Amino acid sequence: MHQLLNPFSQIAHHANVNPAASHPYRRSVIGIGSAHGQDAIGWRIVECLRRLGIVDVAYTLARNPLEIFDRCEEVDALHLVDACIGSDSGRLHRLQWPDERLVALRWTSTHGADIPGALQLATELGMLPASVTIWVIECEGDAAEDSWSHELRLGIEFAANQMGQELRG
Amino acid sequence: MSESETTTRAIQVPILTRVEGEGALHIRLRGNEIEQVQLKIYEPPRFFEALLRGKPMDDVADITSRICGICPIAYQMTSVRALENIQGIAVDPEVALLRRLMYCGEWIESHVLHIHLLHAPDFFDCDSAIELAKRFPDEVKRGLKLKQIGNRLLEVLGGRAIHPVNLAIGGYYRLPRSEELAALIADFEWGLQRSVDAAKWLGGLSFPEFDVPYEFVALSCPDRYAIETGVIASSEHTAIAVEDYERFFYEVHVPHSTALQARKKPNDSTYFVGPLARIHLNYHTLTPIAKQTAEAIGIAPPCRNPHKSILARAVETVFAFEEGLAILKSFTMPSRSRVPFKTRAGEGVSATEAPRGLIFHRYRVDSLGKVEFAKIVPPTSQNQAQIEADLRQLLPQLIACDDAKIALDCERLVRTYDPCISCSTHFLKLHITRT
Repeated sequence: MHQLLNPFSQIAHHANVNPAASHPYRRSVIGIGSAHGQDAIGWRIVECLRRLGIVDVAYTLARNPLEIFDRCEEVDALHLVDACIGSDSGRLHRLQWPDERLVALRWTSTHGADIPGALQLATELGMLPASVTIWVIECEGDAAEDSWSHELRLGIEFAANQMGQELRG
Repeated sequence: MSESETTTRAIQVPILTRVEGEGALHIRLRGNEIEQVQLKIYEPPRFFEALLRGKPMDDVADITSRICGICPIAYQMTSVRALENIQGIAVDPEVALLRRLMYCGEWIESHVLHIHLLHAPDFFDCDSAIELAKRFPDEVKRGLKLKQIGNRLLEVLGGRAIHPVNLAIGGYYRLPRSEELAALIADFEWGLQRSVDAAKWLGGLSFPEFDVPYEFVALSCPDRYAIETGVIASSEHTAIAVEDYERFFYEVHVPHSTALQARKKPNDSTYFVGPLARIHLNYHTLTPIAKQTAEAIGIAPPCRNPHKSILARAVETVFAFEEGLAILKSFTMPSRSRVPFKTRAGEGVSATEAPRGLIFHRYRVDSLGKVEFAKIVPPTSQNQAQIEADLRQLLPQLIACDDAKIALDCERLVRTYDPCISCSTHFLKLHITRT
């Protein structure tokens, strides 16, 4: 059986290049990662958020930080969710861009682009909205999801609740 | 013998920057002699070919797409076509067009990413795309919007831009809606014009003089620019059928790399795959605006300077928009998304043109459709030996320079290939001896 019953469940609405088109959502939440291992943390948080049914928010499951550029225009606020390597598993960091502490976190990257790099480029190009919030969960290393610690699972739940409260405003 | 002639210099680039994946360069010089040139791939092998064994063939496209986040379609398309060959089926013509369109989307997003974020900075002495964006914000922004269009096409046809999920043996799991495709036309019209502008911007670059007598290898079709099908053409030899690939090309392990390197029989020679090879072999089948653009920016064949690969990618981006637009405007929705088939055992091959060059797959499945054997040869594996050969040719020009200059120019040469190191480490043969 094909792994995904609904192959289009992860499409998010986003801005159209055509200037005549209008963006239906004023806030964008992007979870960065994949479906596997520690990479899934950002995605799980976004999936929790999506279930909360908060209006006027576009949710995206992104594979790498470069996808920020597809999702950040014509929104008032951008929220990025990702994991980083750290010793305090489950600990949530909430950072407002720009913040030098982002560079100190241990990211994984592809094509030389991590979150700080992608945000720096987007800033240089004037593509970011006024508000960019980065939510980062610490995890101790790569582990399959069924091996995640209790602390990490609590941290994910906490992050989703915190983000939900902020998005509800 | 003087001291300078016997002095050994070791030049190392411990981490190649602005390439996908993890690799290094090690060069050893003794006086004016080049003792060693190694493109060291140390990214861990990923064992995809072993992973596929025992899996249902329906899962192969999903699994192989995870070899690369930038060129997943190349792996998916090549795998489903090989499996379709085993099952003796051919997709409906309209579905074949959708697949060609989908591949155009991947070429757009991959080429544009490499051009603007990874390669163009070299031509302006910028260390990063961020620095480039400070000097050329409109050009980089244009590039990102072009990439966005490619990603959107992959979302419409594949379900998502990264690791698309909709490609199936026999066609697609779900056909796109007509209005979804129609909505892309305006974007592709914009993209066609802007990609021509981007190519003209790049046409003003200065290129290092470096000419190499490559053997170019790429798929070729008589009546259209080959992407998803064709015979294997060469600048040195008569074209061969894809089924004969392994009679002429093979992979070897080298001690300094976790990725295999490819060679060509009978002389164990190197060869070159990728956009420059495609332009050289298939120039006559480029679409009209793409060909005009190629002539305008000076990339018409013959061109054997790898630094001009950026121009080849720019022309292929124009081609992908032009071809994609033509398909979108003339498209007729197929009556079915997939061709049905009865599973049978067998062995089959396929080759397509990934953004980085020729990619080859072979599979064997049993009567239940489970994979018994898988072989995947990505373009970066095929180019590795040529990269090292290029470096050996370049180094004599640089020997008198300081180590920093040598390292910089060598790294820039590697970047012309747009190597995808994660793709090339998909496989490692494992031998266990028990005593």
